[in-house]
Amino acid sequence: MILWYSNEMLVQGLLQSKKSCIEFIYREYFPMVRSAIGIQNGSLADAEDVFHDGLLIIYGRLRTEGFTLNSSFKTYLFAVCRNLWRRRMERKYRLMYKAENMVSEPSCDDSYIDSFEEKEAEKYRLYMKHLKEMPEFCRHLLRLYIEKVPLREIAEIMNYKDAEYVKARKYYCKNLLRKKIMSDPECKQFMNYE
Amino acid sequence: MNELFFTSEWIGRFTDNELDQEQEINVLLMASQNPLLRNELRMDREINDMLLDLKKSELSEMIGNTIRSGKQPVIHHPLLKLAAMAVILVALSVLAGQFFRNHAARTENAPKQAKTHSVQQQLAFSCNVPAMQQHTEKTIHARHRQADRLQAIAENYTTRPEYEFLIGGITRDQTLFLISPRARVQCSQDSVIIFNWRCLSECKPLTIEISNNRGVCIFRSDPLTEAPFALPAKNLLKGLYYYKVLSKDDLVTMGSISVK
Repeated sequence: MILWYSNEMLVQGLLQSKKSCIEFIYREYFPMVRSAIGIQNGSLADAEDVFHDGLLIIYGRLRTEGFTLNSSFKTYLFAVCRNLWRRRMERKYRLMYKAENMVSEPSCDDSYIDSFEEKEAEKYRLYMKHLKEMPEFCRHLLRLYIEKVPLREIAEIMNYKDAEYVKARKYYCKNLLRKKIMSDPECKQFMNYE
Repeated sequence: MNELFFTSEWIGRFTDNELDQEQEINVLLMASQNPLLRNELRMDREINDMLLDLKKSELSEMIGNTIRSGKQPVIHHPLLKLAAMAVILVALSVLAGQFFRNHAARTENAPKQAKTHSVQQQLAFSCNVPAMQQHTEKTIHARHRQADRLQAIAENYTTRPEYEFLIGGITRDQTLFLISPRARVQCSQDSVIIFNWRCLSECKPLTIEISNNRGVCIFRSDPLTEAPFALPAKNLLKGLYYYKVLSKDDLVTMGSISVK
C-alpha cells in the first residue's frame, strides 16, 4: 500500500480510476474541502457533493488533449472545489433572492469553472445516484449493455427469451430511470432545456 | 402511433437510431410540438452517453463508494506516524522507569510501612459501629444538655404571680418613701442597685430582702438605719428576683429585679 502519492501518480491514478489513489485523495484532501465549505455555511453533504463533482471535473479536464496541471494536485482540487461551491452558492442566492448582479471573481484562471461544466458534473452525479437506486435486474441489464455485451448473450445471462425482449427491458429500465430523475426535485433545474 | 409515441420503447429506439426515416420524422415532428417529449428525448440521450462512458461511470461510482465508506480514521503522513510512535515509546519508557523506581522505593520502606494500618484495618476502623453509636449518643447528650440549660435559663425568668400583683407602691407606713430603685429594674450583672429612701419623721430600721422567682429568700440585709444601701448585682445569677423593703415586719414596698 502506497502511503504517499506524487502529483503524477495522482493524475495517472485518477485517469485509471485506481481505488487506492481515490482513497488517498479522499483521506488527505477531503478534510480541507470540508473545512472550506463548512466555513461558508455548507453542510457535510454539500462538501461531499462538491468533492465528488470536483474530482469528476478534473477527470474530464485531464482527459482533454493539451491540458497540463500547472499547480499541485491538492491546490488544483481545492481551487476547483472552492469555485464549484461559489458557483452553487451564487445559483442558490439567485434562486432565493432573484439577484442578477452578483459579482464572481475566479481565484485563478486555471481552475475557473464555467456554468456548463458545473451543471454537467452535478447532473452526472445525480443521474448516477438514481442509477444506483434502480432495481437489481435493471442495473445488471444496463451494466451488460454498457459493457457492450451482445443482446443474445444478455438474453442468455438474464434468462430472457430473445434479443428483442432484452431491448424492451432495456427501454423499460431507461424509462424508469428517466421517470425517477424527472421526479427528483434536485434534478428539476436540469429539466428545462429550452 | 401517438399513443405509442410516449412509450419507453419509442424513445429508446429513437435514441438508438433504430427507427426508419419516416418514423424518425414523425418523432421529430411530435417533439417540435411537445416540450416534455423534447426533454425526455434529450435526457434519454444523456443517459445513454452517461452509460456508455464506462470509465467515467466507474470513477464516479468509486468516488461515491469512497465517500460513503470514508468514515474511517485519517491516516497521516508516514513521517508523522513515525514521530507519533517515537513519542509514544518515549512516554512509555518514562512511565516504566517511574514505575520501577517507585516499586524499588516501596520495597525498601516495607518494614516502616508494616507499622501503619492495613487497608482492611482502616476499613474495619471506619466501620466500627459501637464507636459510631457512642459518638452519636454523645452528640445527642450534648444537645440535650444545651436544651436543658436553655430551659433552666428560661425558667429563671418566669414570673411569680403572687408577687407580681404586689409590685408597686404598697406601703403601710405613710412616713417612708422609697426613692430608688424603681418598681421594675432591669440590670446587668456588673451593675450596682442602689436602695435609697427618705423618712418624713423618725426612720425606723429597714430590712431589704431579695428572693428569687421561686419565692426562696437568697439575701436578707441587717436592719438599716441610714440610706442608701448598695447591692452589687454580681452576686446574683441571671434571672428574675423580687426585692422586699420591710420596716420591722411590715412590708413597705416590693419590686422586681431582672438580671440579664
